[in-house]
Amino acid sequence: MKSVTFLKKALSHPYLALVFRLYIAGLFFYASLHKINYPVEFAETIANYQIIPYWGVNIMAIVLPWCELVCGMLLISGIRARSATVIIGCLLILFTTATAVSLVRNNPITCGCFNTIGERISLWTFFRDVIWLAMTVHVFFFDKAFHLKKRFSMILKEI
Amino acid sequence: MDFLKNTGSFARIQELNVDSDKENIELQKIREKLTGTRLRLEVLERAKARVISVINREAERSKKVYPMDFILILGLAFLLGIIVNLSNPAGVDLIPLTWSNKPSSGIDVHWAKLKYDKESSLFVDARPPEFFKERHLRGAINLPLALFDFIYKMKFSKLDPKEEIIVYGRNVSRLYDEEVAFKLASRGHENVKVLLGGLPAWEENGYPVEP
Repeated sequence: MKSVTFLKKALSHPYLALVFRLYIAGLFFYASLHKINYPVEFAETIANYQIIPYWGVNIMAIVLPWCELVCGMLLISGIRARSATVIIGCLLILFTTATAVSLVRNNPITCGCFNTIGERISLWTFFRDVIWLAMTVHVFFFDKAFHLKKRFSMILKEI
Repeated sequence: MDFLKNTGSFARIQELNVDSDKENIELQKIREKLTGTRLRLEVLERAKARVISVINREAERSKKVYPMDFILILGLAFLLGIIVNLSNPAGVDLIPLTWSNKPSSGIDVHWAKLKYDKESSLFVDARPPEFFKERHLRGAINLPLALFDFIYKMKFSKLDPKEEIIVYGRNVSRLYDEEVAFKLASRGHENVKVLLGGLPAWEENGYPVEP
């Protein structure tokens, strides 16, 4: 009984959420850099998934990396962090779905997350995306540390 | 005697009156001061309550998720993406080239089979090599967009510009056949056609594919 309570407390601890938050933010920030620098190759990667219609591929290749960058920076700084978490969660759901569809179709493509020349997607890619999604959900519900809110409550105590 | 006493008392009463008037004025001043202080205190208390409520509201705000945030973040990403792309020499085209290029003429799959049997035209697979390796039309040459110049020099430069070339290979995300057909046409080939229906139509009719 005690161990269960301890486990529950440990899993919902704000510091764990902080670690996840910084990890996901850094991950997205780092992943976006290569894609911003090489939009043509990223557009090819998106086209390889064969999900997005041809007129949307280029626009997505431009907007998606910047979206990742902006959300990563917002998450790190704690400004509007919850909205950024929601957007990152939506992106991860999109990636997970795309990976699942490609695995079902047996499409021989690379994930395209960090660079264009990687290894083929596999079940491990899918599980990796699911783990990141779980981390993002955890951050959404349990993240309390190092936000502007804490500063506010300290100011309140002074008043 | 009485008169003097009365005058004395009257003068004394006058003095006392003056003193009490002075005291009244002082008391009045003190009362006004007190009222002023009380009013100021009330204002300060209200101000404090207001500041606390504003801070509480801001603190609650950082916990909330607003739809406006999404619009702002996506808008900012969109703007940054467009601006950086415009100034990037290796950027992508926002409007698909196939919308502004002249469209190539198409050829029906049955006609194409006739030409295939007669061996009178060259069949080109415009898809990336991974897809070509998986399955392609028997006898087709792989000419992906990425390696266009290289493979063109190797295999196509000595071709007769009047020879018919039939290009296939598109998917929902990329019109490879249109783009390669356009490139071939701009290299001087006059008879470039796109296979209508692509590889799926070819396979549906049971025509030869390999491996």
